[in-house]
Amino acid sequence: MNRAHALAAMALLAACETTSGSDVPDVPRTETPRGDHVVPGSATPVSPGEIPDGGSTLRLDDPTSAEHIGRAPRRLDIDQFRASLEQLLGARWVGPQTVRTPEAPSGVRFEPEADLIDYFAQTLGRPDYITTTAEVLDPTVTFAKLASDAVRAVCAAGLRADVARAPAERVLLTEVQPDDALPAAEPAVRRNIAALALRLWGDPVAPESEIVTAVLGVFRVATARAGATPLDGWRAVCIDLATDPRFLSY
Amino acid sequence: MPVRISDEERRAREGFTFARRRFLGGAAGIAGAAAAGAFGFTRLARADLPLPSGRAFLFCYFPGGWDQLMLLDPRDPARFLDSERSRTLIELRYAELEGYMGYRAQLVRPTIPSPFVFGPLAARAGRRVNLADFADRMAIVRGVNMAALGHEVAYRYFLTATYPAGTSARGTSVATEVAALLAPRVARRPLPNLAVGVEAYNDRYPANTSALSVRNAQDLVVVLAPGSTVEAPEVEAAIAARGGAAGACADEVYDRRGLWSVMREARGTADALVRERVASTFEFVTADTPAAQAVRTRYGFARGEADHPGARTALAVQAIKSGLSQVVSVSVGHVTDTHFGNNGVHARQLTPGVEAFLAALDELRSSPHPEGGSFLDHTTVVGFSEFARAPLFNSYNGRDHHQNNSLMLVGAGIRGNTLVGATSDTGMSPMPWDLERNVASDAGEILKPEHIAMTLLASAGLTTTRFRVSPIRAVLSGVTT
Repeated sequence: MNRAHALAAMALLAACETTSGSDVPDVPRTETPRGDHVVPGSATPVSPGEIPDGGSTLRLDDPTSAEHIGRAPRRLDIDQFRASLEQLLGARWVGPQTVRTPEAPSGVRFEPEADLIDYFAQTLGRPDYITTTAEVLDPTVTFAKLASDAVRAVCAAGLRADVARAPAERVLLTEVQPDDALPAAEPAVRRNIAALALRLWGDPVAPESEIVTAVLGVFRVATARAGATPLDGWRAVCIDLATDPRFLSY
Repeated sequence: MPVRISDEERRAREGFTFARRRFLGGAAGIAGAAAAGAFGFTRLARADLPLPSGRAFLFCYFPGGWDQLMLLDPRDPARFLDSERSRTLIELRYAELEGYMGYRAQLVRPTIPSPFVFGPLAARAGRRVNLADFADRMAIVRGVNMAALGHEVAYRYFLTATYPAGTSARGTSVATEVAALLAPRVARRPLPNLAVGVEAYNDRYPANTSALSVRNAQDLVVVLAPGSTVEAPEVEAAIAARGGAAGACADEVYDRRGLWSVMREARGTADALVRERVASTFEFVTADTPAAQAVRTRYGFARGEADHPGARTALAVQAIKSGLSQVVSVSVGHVTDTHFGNNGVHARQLTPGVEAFLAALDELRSSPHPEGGSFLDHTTVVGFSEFARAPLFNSYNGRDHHQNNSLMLVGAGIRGNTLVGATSDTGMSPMPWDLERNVASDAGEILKPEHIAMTLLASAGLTTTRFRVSPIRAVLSGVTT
């Protein structure tokens, strides 16, 4: 009986895969350089909204159930999140902050490019090692917001750095040229979204799959604005993919 | 076997599908009552938040373990001589405090006839208010057994009222439980459950009742404000619309425990908070306005001192008064883990927390509430630490950890001038307490964090099936919500 359940679960997993081997783009394994950036940007006014209703709860697996295989996903911890941004997008989240340091006589020092993940570490759940030693890994609103801020900054910096590289060394725009635009380049754009999904999610999706079509919609909106460039579209796609639970969990 | 849950829990778990209507309805219903300024406090926030209503809770955490001999569970120095410490296993050394930081080496008695006295740190020269001034609104619970000597175990035990597994918290924070159970009864708050420098857990209630956790006021502003890099509105809307959807098939496999759903909702909540522009409520740390300066003066911190205990506590109180939050947990003090310092060192560490706590009580008591009375009449305030310090000094002239604990309950739903629980006169061990007769008795039970949790819930007419203990009825006044 258990074996039957396990086979059913494997079949379910297989059914979820939406790609054939030939459709899966190769993701370059080149190490990405550390970004050196100050993120420009303007606080665009956003329209007032509302707090979403309802809510989900974390559930415990039924240990007697054999309907699934493998462990449940976990949220990235802070160090994993930083390393993921750095390795996969090629930049760090930095900004001007006054940071605590034992090396400064006053105990604090202004750093124009402080590591902001370190700066917000306690708010993100890192223990203080005075009264707590275990990191809080709950998927909190705080984590969602700061991760979202970090991703926005890093995507912008990472794409700028990627465009500056020789085409063969690019890690984010591997299937397209930076100025490839819709509708002419839609197949290449789809392939690149699929490549990014594999890079950021570890999920081999097909260029014609439903999920790529949905992300393509984000690209389309971002590039449809007056004066927008394909790079604006790739930045939006990057933000979309890197704020997705598939990037933030493992 | 099916799990039994109370009606309150069931309603909370079912979610708040009417929350939006309550959110707006609450605002509309009360908006005509009066302008915010008429309630005696300066509104720092936007005016379109629902006015404060219903019961609020303020959990004030004194981190590091506090000395109860100097605050809530003192001993008479005339009876407990330091020279007899080998017999009593209690060593006061109050004399170390005489004249230090404005303290006197003496017990502090409330001005009203009272069953309790405070230790020397309850009153300090130059303070506008002292703990004894709140005796009529305060219940003190002594002799609470934390059953742990490690900070994070005892801390998480108190927070969740469930004994941790190793050092890992189990269960839901009491603050979150209160927020979840209160939510169907009150106008929807943008931040129903806020935690400032305090851990928060949720393993059973909807994600929108999970705490928004931050280290200090400045971080809260960052969390609530738009990031430094924001895309055009239509692009942000497109990203939000896709919302990390993975498809039913992937969700079936990977979202079994709901992690992805909770992450998506957390992201949606974060976006909504930015859109609601609630960050302006907390700009008193850096703003150069008379209102901001008044907050800083009351709580004793300078402009820009976002991590000052006063700033954190002011943030907590403003969150309640502005209608942003129903339940707030805040770390009010410096760490008081003084293994290597005498009473003076401990007093220096504990004083900022006590004064921030007093400032909060004073502000709540002096601020008229939109529904009548003061904010303290509608807010239950808890002052707690993870455990106490040992009654004997160690060889470094400091005090180590002691699993006994005491705490303060003040305000709404609490019968003032009440003392519950006791510690022994030899070694300050928690003593069994008869909850029916409210006296120490060998036939009674040792008080635990579960009792406190049930009492706090009962103070607002709430209950849960999580704990197998009764509330401490002696500290409950008429229940109001």
